[in-house]
Amino acid sequence: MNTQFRKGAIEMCVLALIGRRDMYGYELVGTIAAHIDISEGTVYPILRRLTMDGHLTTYLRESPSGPARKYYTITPQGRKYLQMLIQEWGNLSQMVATILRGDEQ
Amino acid sequence: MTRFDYLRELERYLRGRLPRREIDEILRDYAEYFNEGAAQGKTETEIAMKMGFPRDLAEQILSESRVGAGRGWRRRFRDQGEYNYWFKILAVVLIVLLSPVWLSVLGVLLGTALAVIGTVLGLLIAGIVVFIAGVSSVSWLVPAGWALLMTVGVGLVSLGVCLFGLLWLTVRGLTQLAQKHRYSVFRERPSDTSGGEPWREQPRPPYGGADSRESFAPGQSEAPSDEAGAREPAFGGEEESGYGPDTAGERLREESGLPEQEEEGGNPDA
Repeated sequence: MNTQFRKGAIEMCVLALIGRRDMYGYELVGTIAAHIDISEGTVYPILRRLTMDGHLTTYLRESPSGPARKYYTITPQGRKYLQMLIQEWGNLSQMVATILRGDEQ
Repeated sequence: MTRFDYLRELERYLRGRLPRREIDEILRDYAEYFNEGAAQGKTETEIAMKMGFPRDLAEQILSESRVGAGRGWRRRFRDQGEYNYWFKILAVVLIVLLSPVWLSVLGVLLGTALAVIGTVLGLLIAGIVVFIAGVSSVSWLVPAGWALLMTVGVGLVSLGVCLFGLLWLTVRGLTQLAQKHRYSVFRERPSDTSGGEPWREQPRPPYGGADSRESFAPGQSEAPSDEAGAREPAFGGEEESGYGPDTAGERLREESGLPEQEEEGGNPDA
């Protein structure tokens, strides 16, 4: 799959998952990797960017197994951004489906 | 590849291309990832394999990170966190040391303004008072006396009004002048009336024409190496406004909504 394409999709998945509940990196990567074929390292840069852009915030919490985990929370701005992404995704897939079916005229 | 090797390799690719603070944070995140994987019973090599090559990962981190993607002067100052720090200290020291100069200039300006305003107000009040005195003295003074007083009063008031008008015109003129030159001084951009259009037509591929982008577009499209000296003044100017150069730039980027577009566009070759 095209990298750009994939990155946008992963970004949307990351936001959607964290939007449901706070998650830490390993958990998040595991969930996504279970469904999409990715190098597991690539999720962190996306998390970092989303955090720097103010769509996510982080906090540390002790884990039962060893050192603290960094948890990610979605911000109100992140929620808005996710809504926008979902809408764009819907529009795009609709248009693509139209063309693929050959109904464009 | 062990966890130690992996993180060391990653650090090697990031070193010098991102601020130290960010590299440490990134390494911390991946160390956490290794910890969690180990807790799940995976070997370090297994985790490292799934993560992808450190080099590819570093490339992706740099391309996602706004500063890593090779943007000229902002990246340079981000890299040189220490330089930045000393510059701020120098700025504070200079401001304190030069306080006798700028404080006295400020005092003179303030004094002049107050004196002018005081004169105008004084004239207006004096004129009104003298005029009222003329009116109220109608009954018990010789006719010529109150007429004289009223005339003097009217004269004083009109003088005051004239001065007030002059003052107002001056202030308005100065404000307009300041507005006209604001962009060229602080943003290296010609004022809208004169050279605006030709400038806009210069090709700056990734940055169309929105005003907020123009201020930093030139620096980014140039090579970071040879414009080192040329960048300093702009940097100094922004420093005076109270923000670090990176913060100011960041702010502009944020406002223009640019990072996403740019990032996506810049990636295929990464």
